[in-house]
Amino acid sequence: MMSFLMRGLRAPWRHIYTLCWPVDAFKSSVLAILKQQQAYLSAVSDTLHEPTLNLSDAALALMQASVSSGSVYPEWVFSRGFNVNLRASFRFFLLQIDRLTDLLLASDGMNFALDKETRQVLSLELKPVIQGHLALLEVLIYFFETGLWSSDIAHGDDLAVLQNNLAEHVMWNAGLRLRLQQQKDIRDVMLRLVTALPV
Amino acid sequence: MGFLIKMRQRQFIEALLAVNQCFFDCLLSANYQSNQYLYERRLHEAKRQLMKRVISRPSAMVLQAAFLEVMQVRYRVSDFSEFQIAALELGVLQQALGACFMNLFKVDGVVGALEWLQAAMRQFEGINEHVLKVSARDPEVYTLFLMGLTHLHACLNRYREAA
Repeated sequence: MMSFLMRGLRAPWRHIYTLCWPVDAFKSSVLAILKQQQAYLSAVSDTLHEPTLNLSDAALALMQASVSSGSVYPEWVFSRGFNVNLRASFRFFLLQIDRLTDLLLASDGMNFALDKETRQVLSLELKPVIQGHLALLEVLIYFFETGLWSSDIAHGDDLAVLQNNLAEHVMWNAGLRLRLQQQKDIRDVMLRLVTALPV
Repeated sequence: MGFLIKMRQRQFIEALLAVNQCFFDCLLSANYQSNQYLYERRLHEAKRQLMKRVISRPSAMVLQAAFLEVMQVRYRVSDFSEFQIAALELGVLQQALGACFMNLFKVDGVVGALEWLQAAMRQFEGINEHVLKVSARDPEVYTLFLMGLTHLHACLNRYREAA
């Protein structure tokens, strides 16, 4: 309800809203960014088998969510005098979400550094890893929507399998090595966010 | 019309330079870890301006992605004092990258700047091979940083040719 209200609010009222209900305002802002990240990852998952990757629209939407301060990105968390009890945890979340956006955009750019053959190998191996990312993102979204933990938090050894399967290719391919590291970092950030959720 | 194009190019360059400055401030400031949120907020603001420019210039998306990959080094490193060992080399890299961005739309200038960047990368590779690989907690981080820089160099070259 509150998040619906917030979207329609103009600047001074939005400011009052964030002052009076900072937790609700933060939740609705973070949720909007997480949903853009989810849409982007879904687009990545859908276009994995396409030789000509075209993720521009999803990437632009993700950037738009980060750029539009006031309406989506909760810049006010960094404001001077913001509630000291909430400040540390909100800033931590925002920093990690910001990093996640950076990593997602960076991993898209790396595709251009890979040759066609490597991209085909990668597309086969990457699918379960991206599904794992999406599952963790789903947990986060569910929490921010309902305030409850999702019952099915399961992530397997998909990253270890990916690393093993790509071991011989990674040795000689810098682009692939970076891409692999990015996937590890994405998972690391997501796990940090999930484990930081209040029980 | 030409004036508008020039103005947009200048805004794009200014945004790149601001991100460059904020990023290297994070690496080279001794108090980054104690004031992480302050530095990250500055960097976020600079990235926001850059993203605004990239949204109206989608051809620069790959260039931005390569720069974002290079910037991941600050999260991957576990001991920030290691950057102080390579402070001189990082300073040269900052200047060389700045020169590349500054001359991005100048046909003559960018070639020299890219050569300078290549030289700065070689200089960093030298200290990586001789010092960081021996003394750093996780030397892999710097290898990845160099790979990212090589990718950024290639993207800058490609962007120059396309522009």
